Amino acid sequence: MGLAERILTGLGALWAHKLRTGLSVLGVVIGVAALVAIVSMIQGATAEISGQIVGLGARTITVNLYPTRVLQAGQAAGFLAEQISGELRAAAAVAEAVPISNTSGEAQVGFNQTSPLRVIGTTTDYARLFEFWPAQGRFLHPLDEGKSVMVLGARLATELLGPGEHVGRDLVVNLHNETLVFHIIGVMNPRGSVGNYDVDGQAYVPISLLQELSGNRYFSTYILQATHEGQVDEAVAQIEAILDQKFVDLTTTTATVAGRGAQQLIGAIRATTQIAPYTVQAQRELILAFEESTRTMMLILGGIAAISLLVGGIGIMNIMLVAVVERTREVGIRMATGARPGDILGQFLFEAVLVCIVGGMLGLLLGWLAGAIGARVGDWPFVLSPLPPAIAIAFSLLIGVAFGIYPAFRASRLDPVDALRHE
Amino acid sequence: MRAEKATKAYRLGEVEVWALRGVDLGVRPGDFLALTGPSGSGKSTLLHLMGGLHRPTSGRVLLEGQDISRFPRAELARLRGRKVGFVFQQFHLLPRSSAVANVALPLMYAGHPRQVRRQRALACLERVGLGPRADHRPGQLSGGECQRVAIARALACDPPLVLADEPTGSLDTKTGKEILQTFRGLVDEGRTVVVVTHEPYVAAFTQRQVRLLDGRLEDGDGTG
Repeated sequence: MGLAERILTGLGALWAHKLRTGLSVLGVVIGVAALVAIVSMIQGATAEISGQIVGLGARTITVNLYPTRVLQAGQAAGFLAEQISGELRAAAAVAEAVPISNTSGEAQVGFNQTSPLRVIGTTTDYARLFEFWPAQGRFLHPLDEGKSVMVLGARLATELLGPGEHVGRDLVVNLHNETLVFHIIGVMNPRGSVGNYDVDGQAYVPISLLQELSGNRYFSTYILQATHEGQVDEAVAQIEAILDQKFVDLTTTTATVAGRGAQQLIGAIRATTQIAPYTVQAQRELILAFEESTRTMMLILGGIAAISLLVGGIGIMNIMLVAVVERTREVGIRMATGARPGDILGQFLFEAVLVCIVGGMLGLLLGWLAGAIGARVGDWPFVLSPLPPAIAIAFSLLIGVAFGIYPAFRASRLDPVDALRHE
Repeated sequence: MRAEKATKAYRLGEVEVWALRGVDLGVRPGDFLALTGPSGSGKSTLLHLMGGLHRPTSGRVLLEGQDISRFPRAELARLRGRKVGFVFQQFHLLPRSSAVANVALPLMYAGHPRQVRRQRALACLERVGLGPRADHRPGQLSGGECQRVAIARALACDPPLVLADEPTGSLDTKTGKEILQTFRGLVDEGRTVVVVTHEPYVAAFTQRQVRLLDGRLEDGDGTG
């Protein structure tokens, strides 16, 4: 019996009980659809988030300083952003160090009309780090420090001021409860988002100005790049050594404490405060941590979906057991005309698998649809990967065989004479 | 075909029922034999043993010199498909399949390709005079026509032995006689036909009658 014929025979038998077949197919559809939807949504969300994490490249290191957690305000004054970034950049394995501070304000764009504004305080190095260049005017310069000057991202410029030449114009911005007039010195070329930095939609001002306005000269974020990917661990170690030394210098009057002593002191500070005065996060670690949590999420959700598939499989088994009893006489007829036990086993198993394959295919389509809707709602890309079809086929085959084998085996063990006499 | 000291026991719940208590019966090629006896005498059981639908509890069943009594189930199935054709009182046709598909069933299990199956099944239907009704389903056919489809199915693999269990039991006498004529035609071709019946007119139609009573041959020895 060829495959095409088996399919036709199987479909014929299933078609004879449309409602029943439909319901057992539905059980598989729901299970497979749930699995496919979960996998495709997680893949989409993963692609989106890992795009953000990877954006700046694997050699990126992010440092956050919280000096006031362990230092008095007076001591913390030693943590000026420019100074720190200079010291960090001096480390052998560090190529780039850019301080970033961000806040939100409102731009006045008309009488009584304001528009929300994301403001980044940074230095001239920011443009180099993001490979981000001005279309009009120029980017920030060290001589701008402390001045009310502003550079606009390309999209922001168009949204706020429309197309055209904007350099030389003034923009009134409410920042930290103050109203300031910023002089626009540049508009950038469009760059697209880099990692989770929407560089085109932000305004850039000198970091010193922002710190002055906020009164917070101590909190800051630094984006660093190791000289190359293999140097990331080395760079992290050097950064930690520099920062540890800096904290030690500021907390002790004796300049002789160094080396292991400094490490112990920082350890003690961390242990007593339970708060690190700084964090150093290599992008690579973030990627690994993220992948780890994605895997865990996939396993948990996949497990739940697999349970629903299991329930669908039990439904199939139930239906097939009923079908075997109902079709006992048919089995007898087939046996009397030369069907071997293996033929009968194959026939019923094939029907169960067919139900599952049909359910699996429909479930795949439904799951993809759900995944596409999820992608639209969650605003992440819809990823068409080979994993969902592989899952759909593998699981429906597995369920069909696992739950079809016992009813099929029962049918194949029937005694032909008893089967023929069955009413 | 011969049975030697064949016995068959069934379990009915706790009780063991001996349907056959030691039967010796020989059937020569070309025989037209009627197995008669009251119901419960074991005549159907004997027929099932002869065709490999059952294995004897003890004793032997020989078909073409081969002892089939200890054949594994798959081997028995092969034998049923190729050497034996069964005809039953209730026809036992697949209700959702056309006449020609029913006739083609043994050819399918014997492994013939699709085109050959249809051709040969149609030829067998022609043979029993049902060529024009090949695509009808059993529900659209009369009892006599159904039984002729069943005979065509029994002939599909060209078996030397045709076993019929009360083939006229569901038919009126006139149709029954037509069926018997068909069987006689098969005997004339050199096939062996064994018919289980309790109707005297059927038994009278055959060349040889063997009567069973309580699981034994009434005259003790049927080796003839």
